[in-house]
Formats: sequence, C-alpha cells, structure tokens
Amino acid sequence: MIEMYRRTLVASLAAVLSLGLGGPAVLAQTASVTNPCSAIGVTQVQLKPVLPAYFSTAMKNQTAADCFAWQEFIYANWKADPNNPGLPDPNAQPSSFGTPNDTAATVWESFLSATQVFSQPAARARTAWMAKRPVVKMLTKLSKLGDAVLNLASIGQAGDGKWITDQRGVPAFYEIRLNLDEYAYITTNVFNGSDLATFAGQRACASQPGKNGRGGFNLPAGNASGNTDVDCLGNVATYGQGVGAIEIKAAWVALPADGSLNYRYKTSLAQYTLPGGETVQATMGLVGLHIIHKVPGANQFIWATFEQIDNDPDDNNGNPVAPTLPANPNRKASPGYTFFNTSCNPQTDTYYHCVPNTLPGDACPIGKPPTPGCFPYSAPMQITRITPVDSQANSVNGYAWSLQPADSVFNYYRLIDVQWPNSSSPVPPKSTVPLSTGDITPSSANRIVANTTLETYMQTKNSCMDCHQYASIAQPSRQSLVLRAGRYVRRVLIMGPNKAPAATGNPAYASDYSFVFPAETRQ
Amino acid sequence: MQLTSFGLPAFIEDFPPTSLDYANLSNRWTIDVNGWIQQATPDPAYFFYNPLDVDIPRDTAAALVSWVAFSGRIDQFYSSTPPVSPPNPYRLTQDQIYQLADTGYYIAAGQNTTFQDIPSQLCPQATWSGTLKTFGPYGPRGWMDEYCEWTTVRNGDSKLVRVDFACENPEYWNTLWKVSPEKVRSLYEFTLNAGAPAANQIKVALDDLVLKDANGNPVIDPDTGQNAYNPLNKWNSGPIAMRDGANSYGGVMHLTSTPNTLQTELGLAGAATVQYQPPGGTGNNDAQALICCGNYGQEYRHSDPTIGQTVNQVVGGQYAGVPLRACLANPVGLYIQVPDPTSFAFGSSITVGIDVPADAKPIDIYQVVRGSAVVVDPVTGQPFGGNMVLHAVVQIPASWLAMNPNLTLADMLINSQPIQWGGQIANQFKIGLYARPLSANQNPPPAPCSSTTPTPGAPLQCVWAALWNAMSVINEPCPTGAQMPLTSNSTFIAPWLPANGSSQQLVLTCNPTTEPLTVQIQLADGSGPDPSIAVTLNSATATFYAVPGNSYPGNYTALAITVTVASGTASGLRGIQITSSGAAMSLPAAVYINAG
Repeated sequence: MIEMYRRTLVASLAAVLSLGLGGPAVLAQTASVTNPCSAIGVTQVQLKPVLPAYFSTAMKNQTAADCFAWQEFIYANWKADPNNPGLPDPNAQPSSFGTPNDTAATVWESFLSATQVFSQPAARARTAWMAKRPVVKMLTKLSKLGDAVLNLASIGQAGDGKWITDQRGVPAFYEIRLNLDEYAYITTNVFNGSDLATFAGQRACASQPGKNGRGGFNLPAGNASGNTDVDCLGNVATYGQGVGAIEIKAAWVALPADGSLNYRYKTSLAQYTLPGGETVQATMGLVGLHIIHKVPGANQFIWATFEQIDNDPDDNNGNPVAPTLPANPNRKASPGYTFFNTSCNPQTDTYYHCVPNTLPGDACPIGKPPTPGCFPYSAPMQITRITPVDSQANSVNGYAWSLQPADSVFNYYRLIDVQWPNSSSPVPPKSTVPLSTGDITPSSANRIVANTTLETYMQTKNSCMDCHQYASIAQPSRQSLVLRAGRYVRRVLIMGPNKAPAATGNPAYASDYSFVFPAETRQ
Repeated sequence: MQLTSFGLPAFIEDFPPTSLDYANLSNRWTIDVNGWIQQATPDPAYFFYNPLDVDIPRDTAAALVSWVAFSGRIDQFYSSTPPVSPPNPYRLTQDQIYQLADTGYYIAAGQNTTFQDIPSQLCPQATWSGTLKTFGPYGPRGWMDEYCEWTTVRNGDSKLVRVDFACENPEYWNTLWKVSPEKVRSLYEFTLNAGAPAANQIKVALDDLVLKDANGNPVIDPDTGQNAYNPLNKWNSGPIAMRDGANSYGGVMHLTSTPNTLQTELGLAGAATVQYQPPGGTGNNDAQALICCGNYGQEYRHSDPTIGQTVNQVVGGQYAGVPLRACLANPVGLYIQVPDPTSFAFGSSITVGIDVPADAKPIDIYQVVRGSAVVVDPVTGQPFGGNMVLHAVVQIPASWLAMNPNLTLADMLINSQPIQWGGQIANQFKIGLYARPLSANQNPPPAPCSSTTPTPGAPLQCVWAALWNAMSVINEPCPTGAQMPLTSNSTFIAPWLPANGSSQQLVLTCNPTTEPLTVQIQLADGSGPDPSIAVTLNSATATFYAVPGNSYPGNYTALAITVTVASGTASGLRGIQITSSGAAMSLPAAVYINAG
C-alpha cells in the first residue's frame, strides 16, 4: 500500500544520460519541447523584447522564476535602439536575435556603465545617459568589482577581488551596467549638490526618516502592479521607464582571433587592458551574465544568472562530468571547455596542479621578476561547477532554446539559477546591514546559486543574498588604497554582523543590496 | 462542468467508492465544505464563488499555491537569520531552531528552554521594544502552524529513525469518525505502522480515540449516538512518537494546531478576495502590508500571507493580468508537495550494494502513505500541477534494514547534512492548496482595511453541548504552560438537528457583550428567523478558548441554547443569528437540519 515516491518522480531522472568528459550530456530528445511557463500568471518566454516588470504570487515557484529570468535575458540581449539607449530596437526582428558576429550593442550593453555614473560630477552625470556609447568597449576590470576589493572577512567570506584565467591564458574581464531607472534614482536624488554617486549623497539619502515607512535608500521597483516608488524623502516619484532598477554584471573572454568560435558567443568589440597596462583589441565573447532586477513583489530583487554552455564541467564531487543540457538540435558540438582542460597534467600545471577552483594567491608583479609562489595572470585555471543546474532551469532552457533562430548565439547560453524573495517587503528607511533576505529562495541551506565566472571561489559558501544583504553605502573611512602585487587596489570594508556601527556615529546604512555603491563610489 | 458534491481530500477512498459508508461520508463532507464556503463568503460575495453554484468551464486549470512546511514564525521570532526584518533578540542557531521545532524545547547554556515571549504588536512589523506575549499557538504541537505537523521516532541512541508528516485537516477525521470509528482506528494503525520495523509497530485500540469526560466516561456524540472522537488522542498529540512496546504513544494523523483547520483555510481565502488598500502605496505587492490591512491570518507565517496575497492578486488581476473570481479547487484540502529528490543523498557510512540494495535511491526514504503524488483533475482531465500527498513518512526502507539493521536517518544526508531533525526535512518541501480562478465580468471594488475590533455579540461557533461540556474541562498540554481547553480543537462541523420536535442542547459562542441577546435559526435562504424552529437561551457564561482557526485563545461568551426543530422542516444548512441592540448578526451554516 505504501506508494514509494520513486515510482512517480524518479523516472524523470532516468531520462538523464550520463556522459563522460568532453562534451555536454544531452537529455533524451523529445518530439516537441514542452512549455514549462504555461501556467496561469507565469511570465511567458517569447522571442520579443518584453521586460517582465513585476513578480506576482503566480511567480513564486522556481520554474516561474526561471521563466521570468529567461524573458529578462531575451529583453536584455535584444538589439538596442541606437537612438534610445536602454531600450530595444523596435525594428529588430526576432529572426535576428543573436545573429553571429553582430557586435551591435544589446539593450543591456546600452545601459550606462557604473564607472560612467560614479566617476563624474553630479551635474555631468545627469546628462550622461544620452551620451553616445563607444563602439569599442573598454574593459579593465579583472574582477567583477574592478579595482575594489571587498573585505568580507568579517562575515566569513573570502575570494573577492581575484581573477580567473581561461585555457587560452587570458584573464576574464568584467563590466557593470545600470539601467535608466537606477541611473535616474542615483542622479536625481540630490542633497546639497551631492547625488547618490557620492559619499555625502548616499549618507544623506540613507539617513532620511521617510514617510509612511517608505523612503531612505530604496532603489525603485517601478510602477507596475499598482506600485508607487518614492524618493529618499518618501515622496512619490517615478524613475526612468518605471520598470524598476536593473544592474548587470557581465564576464567576457577574448575569443580566438580567427573568429572560429564567434558563432557560439554573444560578441563585442573591445579593448581590454592587461594588468601590466598592455592594451589589446579583440572580439570578446560573453561567458557570464548576472541580471538583478527590483520589481513590485520582489523588493529583494530577482537574481538571475546565465553562462555560456562551454564554460566548465560539473564538479561531480571531484570527478568532473559534462553538464547536463536539454536537447537542442541547433547546437553544434562543443569545442571544449573555456575554463577547464580535460587533459590537465598536475605535473605541468605548476600553479594550480589541476585542482579545480583553486583560489590564486598573490599575483606575480608586473614588469618585475616573479616573487616566490606568485601566480601569473596568464596561468590557465581549472574551473568546475559545484552545483549542477537543476531540472527546472533546464526545462526552461530547453524551451527557450526551442524559440531561438537556428544560428542564434543564444542557443549556447543557459540559465544557471534564480534567487527570488518569497517574502518581499520594502526596505524601511534608515535600514542598516544586514538587511533581511526576504526569505530568499532557494536559500543557501537549499542550494548555492553561483555563476562560475563571477563567483568562482564562492560556489560552496554563498549565494547572492548571503553577501548582498551586507551591502552598505560607501563611507570614506571604510576605503583605503593598498598595494597588491604591484598595483593599487581600493580595499572596501564591509560591516559584518554583531558590529556596532552606530557607536561610531556612522551607521552602516544599507545600500539596498547593491555592492555597486560601496565599490564604485570615489567622491 | 457542474459540481454536485465535494470530493474527499485527494479523492481518497477510505471506503470502497460503491459502499454505503463512502456515500454517507461523501454526503457529510459535501455538507461540511458547503457550509464552510458559506461562512467564508465575504462582501462583495461575487469574487468568492461556491463551486456548487457555478458552471466551471472544462479548460479551467487549478493553480497551486504553496509555502514552506517549516514554521516561518519560528524562524522569524527565534532564528539568528530571520527571513524578514526585524531581527529578534534570541538569535538561535539553526540547530537550536530545529530542536525547538521538533520538540518544543532547545538547549541554551545547558538549560532546556522553550518558546520565549514574542511581540504583541506585529503590524506594520513586529515591535520587539513593545509589549511581549507568550508564544502561540498553544497546545501540544501548536507551533507547527503551517498546515503541516510532524512527529519523530528515535531509537535508543536518540537517533532519528522515522518522521511522519501529515497535512490532513481535522474536520475530515471528525467526519470519518461519525461514519465509522472502526475505520478511523484501522487507518491510524495502518498509517502509523506503515513500513515500520516489527519492533516499532503499535496496536491502536478504539478506546484510545474516544473522548472521555472528567470522570473518564465516554462522551456520546449526539450526531451519531455513538462515542465521540477525541482529536488530541494518544496517537495524535505532541511532536514525539515513542515506540517502546506497551509504553508506546504519540504520532500524527491530522492537524491539531488550532489555526490548522480547513474551515479557516477557506475563510482566509474568502477574506483575501477583498481588495484591501494597505497604506504605503505598495498595492498588494507587499504580503505583510496586505495581511496587516486585511487581518485575515497570522503575520510572518509562510502560509497565511502567501495564501492571502495570492488570492488577492488573483481577484485583483495582478496574478493573471485580468481580474478573476476565486475559490479553492475541488477536492478542497491541504496537500504535501513532494521534496526535490536531489536534496537527498547517501551519507558516507552507506555503500550502495552493501548497506543498501544496488538499485536504491536516496529518495526511497520518502514514502507516500496517504494521498498521491499525481491526481487527475476531473475538470481538465489533466493531472493537477502539483501533488496531493496527505501523509508522508521518512524512514529507512525495510529492504535497506535487511542489509544493514543499524541504519538510521542520520546515515542519510539532506543538503549534505545528516538528517537529525524532522524540521530539516520540513524545510525542504512545501504544503499547497489549489485555487481555481474563474473569469469575472466586473472589476473588484477597493476596500478599506479590515477592523480589528470585535463586534459585541457576534456569533462565532455552534457545537453540541455534550461535546462542549466535556472538552471545556480538559486542558491541552503546552511547552510554555499556557492554558487552553480542548474546546479549541472542536470543529465547525454543523450539528445535525433532527426535524422531529425533540429538544437538542447546543452551545453557541459569541463575542462578549453586556447587551441582552436573542438567538434564532435562520430560514434556508439566510433571511430572518425560521418560526418553525424554537430556540431557548438557557444561560450565558464566560469562556476562554481558541475559536477553531484562531492562533490564540480569547475571552468569549458561551450561550447554552435549546433548539427544537418541528417535524416536516426540510433538510439543509441553516444560519444562526444573534440579535442584540436591534442588530442581527449571523453565522451561516451553523447547524444542519436533518429531516431523516
């Protein structure tokens, strides 16, 4: 009489083919791809530049959150309107979505870089949005927060500020971009001439008492679903397009100069700067993409992360295996991993000994003889995915791929995971870190959500929210320049739990989960 | 599709579907659910429909609403990492949280400590600097307030060997008992023994389940003329199940925490259809602001705020893009959702093929005992988009124990941690209900926030006097020592009054009032008093109990009434009304007239 659970559900696992190294495992081919996003109220994944703008209760399950994320990905990677930065080109056809070698800016690439927002005087920043974007990207960040090293030791975390290097011996490069809503919030909340790109502006905003429990440092969620945004003072306000704040973090690698891999990468022309100052022009391929989006019903943001499928194998408890990918008849065979060498020899890999996800020590100094035990930026790394992509994300991946043009580069990108708040609530004015997680789901007790190109070394420790709940406004006293391996980095102290910031007279006001503020603020 | 009766939870067949007992149970259950929907129907009524009254199009799918089975309030009020702000002063570790959830106690500084006080004020958010109060719900496992309760069995080494999870509503078991006490007994015995080693098997006696009065004598249920059911009996009480031969006790067959009732679940759904306008400009996007405005449940639960917000968005149009009407889908119930199998793994002490069969899977320790993972929705002809498990057991399968009898759940991992607590498992799965939205031809009107001030004299619950009197003198055990009588675990099942001119003794509870009252039974259409039914108010006494569905007991008035239904009165549910100071206040479907 006992109905064993495996009778009904484990059968689906049996459909997974377990393959060895060298190429992705493929789920059993099915005649047609089932739409996992068909339930009532769930965001439909469609090849149209539609941005989901609120997170209803219908979305509060993992599959629905995954559908939301994929639709965001399509919107963000739609060709940008050359005349309206941050908006999709209304003339771009679905058939051109992801056309290989198309290096025109996508919607997210036409967002403003965090550096542009934070490095200019307030008055100039207010007009920066409409400035023409350069055709060639300038990439200088070797870690996702650039020259800022967040000191998270107080909350038991480490590894930020380190780099990763691909199998071709070139480090990955990173960029951060903000959408119009977040840009508008930063540049129009001004206190005594200081906007929110400054220490003073952030402090003034975060210390506001607000009205009716709203205000303070609270990025906009947009005006969908009957929501109203407020400014730092708590007054009703509208920012940008009214779709909510979006932050993008992207990871790029230099592709082979012969263009042989361009068909499977979102490409961009860029000039990247190596640690020694050498600049190189190259066609870059997108390998990792974070999209975080604040919307009504998700005040703690939707944290979606994507990767190019060739990045790395699943770790499989130290026995790496090819990741399991849903079937996609348009996908060509893998050329090998970008961040993993299946023939790695521990004898010849003198730096990492082929041990996956090894945190590099100090980088070798540039232009000087190497110091003992240093790690050159050019040494390829072995990277593996600790938490495999789950079945829900894979079901949405398979469906989203079925919508792509046959030659679209986005046939080679997959959703890794999404964190979403099960109990969303606005951050109250004057909030200090740590902020609540909003019952973020999945919690790290369930599984770690991590991008192997952006959180390579945190895959066993932290999901997005574990760190981001400690994101605080920038304070000059918590920044210092330190010399590291021959180059200066800005060390940014992040307050951990059980600290007593109030005693210093400088409360650790929260920056609404965004590390952009403590990392990018310089003035 | 026109519904003529309500299906039993998960369409379970505790009797053969062609049997008289099944027909009797189905008839009683339909009357029960119909009555609770009437009680749940708010103003405006249009947006909360009664499935017996509408035609449901064949392609109308049901939507799963689900929440984590582990208590959100325990996390919020005691954990060092509460889900939402504000933090609490207790800051318990995750292990202490699991101790507390599994036993009602945790070890702090070497001392056994129970639930400490929590804020009285929970809106707009918990105020720890204000007045504190005793944690509730009270009762032997009242803290398991997410429509999921569990009991743990440990071996002589205190290692976890079995966890039973149940989400079955108490009303179903009370109704089943009225049809067949022996069926209830046999199901208790079968379910609590399912898959258990011989040494841990129990024998359930019918007498174990009978409600006794203060003198230890069985109480007669006037509905049936047979012994009444004790919902907090030896085998369905508390968080611990001891399995030690004749000393065995404990288990979980159905929900016992006072807010864990199906009647309340329906009431919450009905109340949440009202389009409250919380202050702050967040619409219904903020579940906490919404529940504070609507007052339809307990703040900081995983369940109530989620259910309420979902229903509110279904009706408001945020869920599907257009306003809809809502009700729970047939079969109305609460359902365990099976956990993600990838969360489970073998521990390092297990070698597949030696300690467990070669084809063993970690998820084999999760076993569905009642209900089913897959149930077909008769409306659509397709499976529901979730599971309808009623009772699940997590234990080492017998075939594994045959290979290694020393295995316990501690040899298995859940998210890479040895399974030491039932709460670890409860954190991995969800409880769900199914709503079935129907199209609406109008937009729901906005409504002001609900008042928290009780209306003096408003009727609350109607119970047989015999049951009330017996239950009111029994105090429920509770780790905090908080007092609460067993009447808190009575039900909203309408007493069946014979239409034969005989006098029947009932207790009607109401909000306290100093004004004189009159009590009457309403006509079948819910209008004024039925002149063929005589009601005599015998006494009014103060009482303290949790109205079933409420999280805390309160002070109310118990009205002892005598009701006489004239012969020839038609069968059907009837409302009861109290008139005070010229105003009539009613409780729909309070009694059922049985013409025989």
